[in-house]
Amino acid sequence: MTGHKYMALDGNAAVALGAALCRVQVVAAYPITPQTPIVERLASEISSGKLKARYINAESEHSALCATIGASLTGARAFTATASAGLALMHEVTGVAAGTRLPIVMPVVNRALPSPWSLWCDHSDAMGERDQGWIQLFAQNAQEALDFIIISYRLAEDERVLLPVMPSLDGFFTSHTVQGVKVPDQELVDVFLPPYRRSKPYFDFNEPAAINPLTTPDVFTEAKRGHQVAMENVRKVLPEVFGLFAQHFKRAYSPITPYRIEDAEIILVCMGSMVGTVKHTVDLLRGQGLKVGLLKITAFRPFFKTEVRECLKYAERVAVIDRSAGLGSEGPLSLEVKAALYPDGPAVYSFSAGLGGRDVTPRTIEKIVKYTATHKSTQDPVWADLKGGVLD
Amino acid sequence: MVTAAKVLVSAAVLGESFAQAIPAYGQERQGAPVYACARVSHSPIEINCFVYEPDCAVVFDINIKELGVDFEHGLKSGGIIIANTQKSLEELGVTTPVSKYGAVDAWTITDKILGRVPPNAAMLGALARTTEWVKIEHICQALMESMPGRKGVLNADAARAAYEQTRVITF
Repeated sequence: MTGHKYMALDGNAAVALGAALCRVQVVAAYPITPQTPIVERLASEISSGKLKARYINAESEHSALCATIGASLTGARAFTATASAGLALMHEVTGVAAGTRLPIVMPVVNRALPSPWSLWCDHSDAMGERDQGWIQLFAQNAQEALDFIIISYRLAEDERVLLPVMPSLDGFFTSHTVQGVKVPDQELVDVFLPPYRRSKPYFDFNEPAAINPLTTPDVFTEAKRGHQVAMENVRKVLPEVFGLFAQHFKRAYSPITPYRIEDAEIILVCMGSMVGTVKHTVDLLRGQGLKVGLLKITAFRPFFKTEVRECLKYAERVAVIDRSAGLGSEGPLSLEVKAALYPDGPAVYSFSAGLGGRDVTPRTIEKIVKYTATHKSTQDPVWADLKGGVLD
Repeated sequence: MVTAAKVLVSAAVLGESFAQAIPAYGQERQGAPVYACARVSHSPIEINCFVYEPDCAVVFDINIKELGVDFEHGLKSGGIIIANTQKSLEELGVTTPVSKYGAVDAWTITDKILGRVPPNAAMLGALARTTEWVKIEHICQALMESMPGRKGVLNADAARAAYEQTRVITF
């Protein structure tokens, strides 16, 4: 008995199976590329009776999240999924879900926000939500995409947290890439994730109350502070949940994961599907005698500042690769890393790559390493894979 | 083509190997050249980008050359070519030194068993025969799992027929 079935799945199928294993009770969704196969698969699981849940076919993403919020407020384990412009349309209510402290799990299949119009991957959609008070995890592959759904519910429903989680998986590079995935047995998931026991606030006819009412300046700050405290609690609870997950399923995760950083002179920092390619390139460059390492960021919100600083402080140089541009400034991950290292850390080099689905190749990463090794400092973010750019 | 890459991954997974197929989605029209790539390995695959220097190129339709598509592009020296043709490498105008060449008339096999459909199953059979990276049994099982019923059985038949009829030349 292995406790799992090894299957060929793409990231979307892995996410749908993950949600079904979590026995979600309500799925409210609106389709959008490249997320659609997630909710299609759940819809057929529900209509065939395999998954006992209600499916709400919403008329927009705004409505989908509103319905998910309503479902969560009745005490149901609620699920939705979206991407790109769909997430942008939800923006008004992402804050409602988080501020009302609802343990919703909503995977985001990362796709560039227009314009120009694109179907393909970058992180600009998720980055637009980074200050809305959701927990944000970035999956590297389909296995993580599945596991993070299960982990997200356990984390979201922890009474010290009670926050929605947005696990991100890269459009196409993870969502549509078929790969071997270990799908855990239902019995194991049931032990790890007991049925959801609702906590306040919820619709209670015995104790009628206004939920999320107009909040005056005399208590608004305190309400926000409570939200921030819950976010701070994630720093403690997330490693606990990862630890429990490892005990149950024999796969270890961490909010941030260093790779070959012990004696590294240059450490690359990134998240999402490019992590694997960076890891591959680190091995390649190590073989050529270059002292390079990698810091993989899984938890972007909350950002594990202290842990990031601990990993990076002895490096000579740090190269952060964002998969969004941070127009008018620089990539959001780069800003976080710089803030974590302030005021006396190593020099941080800010790169963006892979916008709108451009493939992040070992060649691009090699160029980033070479640039970092040979330049004293950089003031501007470097667009690493820009045609005719400084690295071309 | 994308389907074939997915079935290849399923077959590798049935053999407890590691595999990955990254599709290139975009504007599509029937008849236009398409491309899909996959990786198969005995150890976990970390890299997650398209394949630019393949160990093996599988050519489903040799006429793409006339459309200006160079199927040798990036192919590693000493790699493998598998083509849907009876022609020799010289007749195909291949200049890359290869270690193996697998030739199969996948059109005829497909036409006979499945009718006018893309030669996915047959090319997978030729791939299993030429590379030995996946077992033909696993290709057949993966085809039957992805297409339940008679359609899957016929696809498995086409894969097996191509497996048997592929002419492999080792250099």
